[in-house]
Amino acid sequence: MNKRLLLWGCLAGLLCLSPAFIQAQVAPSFDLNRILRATVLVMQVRTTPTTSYITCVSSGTLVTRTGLILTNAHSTIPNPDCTGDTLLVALNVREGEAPVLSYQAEVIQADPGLDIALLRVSAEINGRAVINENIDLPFVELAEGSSLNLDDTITVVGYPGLSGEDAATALSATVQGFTGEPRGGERAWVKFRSVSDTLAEVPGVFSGGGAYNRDGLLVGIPTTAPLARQASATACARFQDTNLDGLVNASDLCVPLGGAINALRPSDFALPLIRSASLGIDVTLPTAQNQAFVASGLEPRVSNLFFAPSANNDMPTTVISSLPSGTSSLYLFFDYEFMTPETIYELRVTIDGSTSAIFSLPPVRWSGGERGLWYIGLTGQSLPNGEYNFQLLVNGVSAGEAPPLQVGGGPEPLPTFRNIQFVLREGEQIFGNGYILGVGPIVDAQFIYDNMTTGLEWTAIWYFGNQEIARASEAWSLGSNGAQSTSVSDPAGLLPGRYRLALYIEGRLSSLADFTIAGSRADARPRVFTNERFVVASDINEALTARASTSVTNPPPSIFTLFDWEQIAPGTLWQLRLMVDNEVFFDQVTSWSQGENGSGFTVQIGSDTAIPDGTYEMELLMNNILLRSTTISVGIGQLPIDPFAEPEGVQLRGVLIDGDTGLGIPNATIFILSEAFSVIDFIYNANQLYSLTTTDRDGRFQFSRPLRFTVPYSVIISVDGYLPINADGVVVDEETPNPLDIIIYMTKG
Amino acid sequence: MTDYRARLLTPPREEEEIRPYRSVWRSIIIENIGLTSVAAVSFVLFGILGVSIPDTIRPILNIAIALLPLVFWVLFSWLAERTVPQPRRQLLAVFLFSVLIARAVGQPLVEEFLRVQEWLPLGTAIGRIVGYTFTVGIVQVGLAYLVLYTLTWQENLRYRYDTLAYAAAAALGYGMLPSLEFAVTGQPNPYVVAAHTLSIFATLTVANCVVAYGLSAVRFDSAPALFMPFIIALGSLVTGLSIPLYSGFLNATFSIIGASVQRHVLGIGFTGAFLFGGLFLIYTLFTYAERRAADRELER
Amino acid sequence: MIIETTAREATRTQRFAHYFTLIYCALALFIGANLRDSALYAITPYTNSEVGITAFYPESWLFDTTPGVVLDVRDTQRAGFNTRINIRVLPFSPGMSVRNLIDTLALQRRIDLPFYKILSVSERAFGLDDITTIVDYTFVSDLDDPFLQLIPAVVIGEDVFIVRRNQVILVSFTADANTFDRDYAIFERFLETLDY
Repeated sequence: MNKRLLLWGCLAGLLCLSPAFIQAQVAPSFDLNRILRATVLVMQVRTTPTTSYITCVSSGTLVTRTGLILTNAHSTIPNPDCTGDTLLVALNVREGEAPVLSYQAEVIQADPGLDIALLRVSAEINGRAVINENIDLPFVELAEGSSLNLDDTITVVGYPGLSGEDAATALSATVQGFTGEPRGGERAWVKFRSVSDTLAEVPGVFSGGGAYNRDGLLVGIPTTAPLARQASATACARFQDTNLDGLVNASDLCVPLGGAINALRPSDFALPLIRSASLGIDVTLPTAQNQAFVASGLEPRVSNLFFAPSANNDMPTTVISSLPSGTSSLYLFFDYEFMTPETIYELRVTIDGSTSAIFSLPPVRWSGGERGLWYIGLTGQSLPNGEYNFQLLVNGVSAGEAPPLQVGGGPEPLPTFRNIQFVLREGEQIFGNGYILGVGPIVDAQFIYDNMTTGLEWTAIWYFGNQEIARASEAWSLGSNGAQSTSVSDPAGLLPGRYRLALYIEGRLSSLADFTIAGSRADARPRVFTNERFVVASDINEALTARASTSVTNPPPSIFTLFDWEQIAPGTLWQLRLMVDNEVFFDQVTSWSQGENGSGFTVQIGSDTAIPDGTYEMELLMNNILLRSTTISVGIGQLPIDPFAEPEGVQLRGVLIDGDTGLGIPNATIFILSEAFSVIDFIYNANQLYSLTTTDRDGRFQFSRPLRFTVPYSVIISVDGYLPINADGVVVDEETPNPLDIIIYMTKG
Repeated sequence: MTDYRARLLTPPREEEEIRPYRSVWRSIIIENIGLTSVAAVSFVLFGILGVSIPDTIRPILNIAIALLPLVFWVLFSWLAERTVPQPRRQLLAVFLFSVLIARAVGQPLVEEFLRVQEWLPLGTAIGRIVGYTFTVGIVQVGLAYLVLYTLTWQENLRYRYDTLAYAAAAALGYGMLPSLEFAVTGQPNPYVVAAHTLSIFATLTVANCVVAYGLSAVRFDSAPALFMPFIIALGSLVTGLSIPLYSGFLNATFSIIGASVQRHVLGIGFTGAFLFGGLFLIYTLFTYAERRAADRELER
Repeated sequence: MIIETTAREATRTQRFAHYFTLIYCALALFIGANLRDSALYAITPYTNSEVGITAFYPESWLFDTTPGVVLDVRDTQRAGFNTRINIRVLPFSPGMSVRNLIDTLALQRRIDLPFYKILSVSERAFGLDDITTIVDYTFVSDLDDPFLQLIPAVVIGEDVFIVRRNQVILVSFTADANTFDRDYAIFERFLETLDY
């Protein structure tokens, strides 16, 4: 009896683990057809007086009905690898067919470093401008907050290539792990592996497409940035006679397609851009533009590669050269210089000489600042035993290799320093701690030591920028475990800027941490930004003298937020975050480009007509620490609701056929009434309509606005020469096939 | 004539009367049963069983179906007419003239002048019946009357049932081109062509038979002067009822499950009932009129 | 029973029956034509007291609400380009001429309407004592749904500019080039009912 139960239990368990069962468990709201229809192919095109040719291609995803497209920045914003000047969008018009060029688009929001761009459909393919409010395109919703876990099944959607058969394709994949970076935290990248029978690897043209969770929500953007400059290192395709010599050969432009993708940029990063674009808000920083930080133009480089088992406030907890078995996180730290958002870097990891796709990072854009300390963290996955080699490539060229790291065996009791914390002190009085400190005479660095033995030589080296400013070296005289501190001081006060403390044991780097000194010292946090405020003004000059405002009844075309600042060294990373109703719509980390002290740093939040109602908030941060914030209420203080934002539901489409001839009826109008009206109530008033559509030359039609579940609609098909077909109480539910294809035979009257 | 040769004990068998004219009812019934059967069989074959035919053969089959009424008429009316002692000489003329007048007058009147396709399909049920009566119905019946009056009134209406024979020919002529046109437009399924052909000719036959009854009554029964306009009104009402009711039965209802298909079974069923019911009523009227005429003769 | 007749003169009753039949046919046809007119030219009243306009537009035409347009109705039952009538009220000052409005409108339509082209500008009597400016134009209507194979239609339009104090009432009529002449009767009836 028990054996039989056990057998049935095992069978049930196997069934639950089988791919078929997993497939069947996909949430009912997962609407693959809608996702495929919302997936577009984006072509960057260069136009010359004599011809046009494609320079770059990528996938993209429609995220609003009005034609906002989420895609990559590297393939859309002109750069040395993608030199085109026009963006064309091809839509997935028919299932299983190649996409059809339908629109021109323009970049309206972008974060080149995160490699995210938001395009807006701007014209038809023939160049005629479109009114975005009148467009009704299929779109998908973004997941709010990363909800992916290890081994989750996701669906990656994009276009595999440019051949005639390359239709929008959905590939099943599983989450293999996560890659952390200072910008984005532990889940800056989601690593995945295709488990689809269709394609074992996700092709490079999928870049910019979408990855969806089981609820059909967009959770990530498959991303890789191919380098046309490194044609040998990346796949590219020559299919155009770009030099017009009558031949398609090696002298023609090779369109970079990119290698296999195994990383997703979580969609959370795109939310601010989408919110800003959806609300029609444009953020400008006039003050920063006046004195823009000029990039050095030098070749980007990385140095000082080392490993840490974890990171705390973006700093390594300690420095390691080996890890015990069963470890599930590893951080590669390195210094970087002269990096720009267009810099492409890649991490190649080998384990015992074999390349590990899971731990490697494909070529992607640089999302950090120009210089500083960076890390790539491998988290969420168990590290197999072996010798790890990490190689960093910058712009396709090897830029640095970390010393080999051994994973395996038990923990080794090596003498170690870890967890450096900084404290600002004057005399016995403490003015704050952490990694952002005010200007003061003494900074103490407190750290923990383990397994130390008397007589070991240890060294503390302090840096200001890249310059060594203090060094202390002595034999260890304390116990084996405990806490110790070291300090740096300047009676005139330490200058604002970026500092570093590196701790060595017997000449081996054991711990390292950076901190920033900015602002005047205050209680817990330094006073870096002051007098932050919102003002209502017609231009920047008026804004500088306008009175602070906390509410405005009539939404103006633009509002300004201003602040003053104290003792910020140029080049210091700072973060400006703007929110409306607690939703971030602007988030930027940049290097400080103004003088050390000043007032009236201005940020303009503008719109073409009037900024939307809502509660706006500005936050100022450094090293992820919120320093100041201010709010203003505009209009009713709450965002309006878009009644058309309904991606959920059943899409109704079909064909209208003349019952006599069997031919489609072209140019016929079909109405769906709002649930408040029945056929008998219809008085041919557009306000009564939920949606209407017109049949094409084959009699085909499709309603772009989906029918909501369990809502009773009325349908009216009334065409000259035919008996009308009307119906009340047309209801769809989650069991209804989606899209719902119907065939309607009309009778001549 | 009586045969006295056979049996002595039984009453002499009355030999079938040799009639100088073809029996009109027999032809009409055979032709329409044939047409209805073709519609029903083709619906079963192509509509229900889903028998598929090559695309190259379909147009030919459709044309053949559309020509069936003509074939039946030639076989059972025109050729049969040539075998009787006193054939109706104007049958072909009535047929051809009806073809021409339908194309030259009827169609332009209905489509260009009255523009029925633009407003009648969208009306209410009663509105459509009234509308079709005073548009398609009156044009169709009025032209049939004019053709019959012009070609047959003077010399060719020799006895009551001549009106029926000519009215059937007029119906065939009037419906021939629209039926053919339907068959060659688009790619209709053969059963749709058969059903449509049946519907066209059923309507025309019943309406024209009503006109035939009126003509015979005016010609042979001394009906009052207003009787003929009344009959024309009745004939146009027949058309006015037939067209909207047929399309109403046929029209699909909206469905989100599968296809919203036309209900041809109802359409063919209605047409058959309408056709044979109508013909039965007209047969009754003719029989009654003939009996009354016989009674009048006896009284005289 | 067979009663044979030979050719003979029709009786008086038969002749009258024939005449009455012809008269009835004509009468019925007349009724049919009236039914047609009452269906095809059925109208719905429209009043906008704010602008001071009263009109009757064709019944079963879809009444749309378009920003900046006083009245916007179109025949959605017509397969092909929907015949459309709309009314806009444009500001007009003493220093202006209708010609200025025509040019302004052309500049905008040049952007909005593909292949926009003015065919003629003329003047015509309107009502009892008004002179209106008539602009005939053409463009290509291109419904924008990339998921459907929609064929553009050549459209003919007519603008009627009616000057009223410091305003110009612009009545526009657009129809498929193939049906413009036939549908124009609808527009004429509409203009006849227009009270401003």
